[in-house]
Amino acid sequence: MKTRHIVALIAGCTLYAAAAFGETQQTVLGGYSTQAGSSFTPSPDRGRSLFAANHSASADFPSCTKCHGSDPGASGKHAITGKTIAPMSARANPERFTDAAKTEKWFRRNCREVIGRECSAGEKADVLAYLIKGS
Amino acid sequence: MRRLACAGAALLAALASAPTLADSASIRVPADAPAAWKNECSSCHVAYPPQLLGKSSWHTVMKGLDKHFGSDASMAAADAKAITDFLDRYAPPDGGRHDAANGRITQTQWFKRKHREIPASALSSKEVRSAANCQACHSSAEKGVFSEHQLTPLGRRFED
Repeated sequence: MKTRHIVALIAGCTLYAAAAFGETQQTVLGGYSTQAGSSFTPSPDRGRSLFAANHSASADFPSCTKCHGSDPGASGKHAITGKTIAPMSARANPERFTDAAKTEKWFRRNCREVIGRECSAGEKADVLAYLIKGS
Repeated sequence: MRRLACAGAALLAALASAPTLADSASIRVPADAPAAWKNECSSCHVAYPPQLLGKSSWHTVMKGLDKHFGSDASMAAADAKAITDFLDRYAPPDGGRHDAANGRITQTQWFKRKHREIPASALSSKEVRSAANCQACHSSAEKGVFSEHQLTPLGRRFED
């Protein structure tokens, strides 16, 4: 009986830890979805399109994939400095999108840079849906 | 006359033995580097140690972060302050070989002299891309070590 309790406790804690970890990415994604409106559903496909699309705001940084690469599961390379950038896919790099402030900071910087404006909450949710679930 | 010669020799000896602030073998990332410096300055390039650029030149960099050499590197005010304080503690004083009016380390006399034997075509080659990519040639650049004895195979090739 006692052993069973301990086993249950450990299992519970493991589940809780896993949930808490996953939930952080889910919370960040959920935050943007909520901002986008009650009828909004994040779409990994739209996210993939936005991530790969070519924009005209910057010659050096025409697309997300210019630095991050076309496979989010692989490392990228900064277009100017050549520095290696860790994979964007949450599956390949579980630390991604576990910090809302950091996620927002990079969306702000990179959307302005690549698209020439800030991204909408819906666009951010789509890209996160792609990088968390769809890649 | 002899005394003058001795004084001159002593001065020369002192000059030769005194390490300059940014003697490439002696640069180290100071131990009290704030977390903000590591987080904010090493995302797109290796975090350049404060010793590489003069104090006023660093101030120029920190005041223009929203247009940081073509990229938006703006950050929270508290992080910018922690980084500026750190740079102020270790940056060489103005008026030396580390000044660059535009804030580019690669434009300092120090950088140019250290790389005078490296052809410009090597620094802009496909493998290096940019002189900002220290770690392409300097294997310990992330620790702030730029010694010519710690080079990557690519760096050794260029040195020859």
